[in-house]
Amino acid sequence: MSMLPNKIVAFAAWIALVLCPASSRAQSITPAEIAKSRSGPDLTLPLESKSVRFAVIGDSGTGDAPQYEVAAEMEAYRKAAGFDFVVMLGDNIYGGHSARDFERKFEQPYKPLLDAGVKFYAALGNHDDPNQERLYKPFNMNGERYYTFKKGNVAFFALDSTYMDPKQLEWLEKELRNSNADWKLCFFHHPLYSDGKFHGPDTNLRSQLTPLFLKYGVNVVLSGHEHVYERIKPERGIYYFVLGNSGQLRVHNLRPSSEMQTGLDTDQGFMLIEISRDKLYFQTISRTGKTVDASVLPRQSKPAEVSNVH
Amino acid sequence: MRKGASLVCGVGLILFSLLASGQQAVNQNSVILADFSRRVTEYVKLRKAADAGIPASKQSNSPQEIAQREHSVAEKIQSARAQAKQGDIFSPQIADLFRQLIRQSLKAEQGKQIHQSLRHSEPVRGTAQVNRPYPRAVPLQSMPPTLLKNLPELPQSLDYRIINHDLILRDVEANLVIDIIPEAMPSQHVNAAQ
Repeated sequence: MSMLPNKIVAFAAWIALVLCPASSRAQSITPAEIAKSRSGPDLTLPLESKSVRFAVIGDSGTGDAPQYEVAAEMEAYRKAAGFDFVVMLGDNIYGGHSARDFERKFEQPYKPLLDAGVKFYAALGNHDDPNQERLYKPFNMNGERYYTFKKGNVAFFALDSTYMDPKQLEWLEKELRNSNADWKLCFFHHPLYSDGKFHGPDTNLRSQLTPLFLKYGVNVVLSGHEHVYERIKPERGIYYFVLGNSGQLRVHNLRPSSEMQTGLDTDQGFMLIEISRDKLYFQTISRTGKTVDASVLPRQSKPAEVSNVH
Repeated sequence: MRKGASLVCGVGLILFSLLASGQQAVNQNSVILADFSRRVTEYVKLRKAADAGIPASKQSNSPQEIAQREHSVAEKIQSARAQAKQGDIFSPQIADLFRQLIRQSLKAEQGKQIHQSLRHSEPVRGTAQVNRPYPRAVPLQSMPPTLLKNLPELPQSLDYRIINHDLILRDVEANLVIDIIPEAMPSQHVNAAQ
């Protein structure tokens, strides 16, 4: 992780981005990293029996080399960790949405995972085509902009943060209220907390969602949009992660505040999560296979109180 | 005594006329909103008729198949509304009321958040035309939830989007621009990078 917010570093990063095509940047892997990748995945998850294991990607659908490299790393970790589904945090397909685009930006990079029977659950981002993607079977959205599904003791709520209308808020409240899952995990594109310079947090969305999260005991929130990785210090007991660098990357874009626990803004990456009883284990892995963040988080005891949220 | 009585009468009259004009404005707005609702219902009816001969939308492994259905629906609607023009749904009165509702949202407690949300969600620029597809190359502007709360609710098949400073009424499944309110948004929100 590099956090040097000075103009020289930012300018150098910009020059690197402009002058070096993505494919050549992708090849700048150090010999130590290559050696490490050859020695196999460096797994920190406990792999407990009957746990819920999944991977997380965000802002992935570029079709460029780094997306393919992250996908290859995911496959290596799948073989070691045995996760059977992936959560997508939006911007799943950038630019065109032709059959060729779906092939190049989704089906090809994740082919080994798809062939192994791994399911993908997508949330919509601002670069996605809601009509095409909600009906695209491999995204498992059941034809809806927002939906819920359950795996073991974990309930997942995929939201459409690009269009959070009163209908969706009502739906979310009803689903959260009726859920008896031990863990409630919401995922959507726009982050409620973020130290990314480019976008920053969506405080309007936060003002509408956080009261529901607190009232109904949401444990974890995953978002993308900002092309970096960031783990936020628990906000009123809720664990927030931003992961928008599984294809895209905005180099040196983090401007850490006191809200940030840790982050990565120098490489693409993905996350692995394992939930077992009252513990959530996670591991964030870079495109080069380096573990950049890993920890275990206890399940929060009960819903926090609702009060003014800004 | 007489002076006091006439003062009370005067204040009473002002209050009455203020209340009456406020009530009148509310009534007027209700009439305009009812008119908007009627126009939307008419569109939905037309859309349903246009959609009738086309197989229902369903999930598919083939993006081509999904796109094909979208094009078919769009073509039918376009031909059923061949004479459509700006203002068919957003009449001048309705457009004025929408501009007013948007201004109110932006001035309210959460106005600053709405501005910020619009800036952070990558404001989009492009050209939208009534009865033409929403431009393919232009991402959809995310809509701040408190702004949506202040606008009239729409049927599932329609949504509001913003391009430049214009508010677009969009047919979601056909990806068609149904109508436009030019300059619905104040200029401050469109200043972030693409």
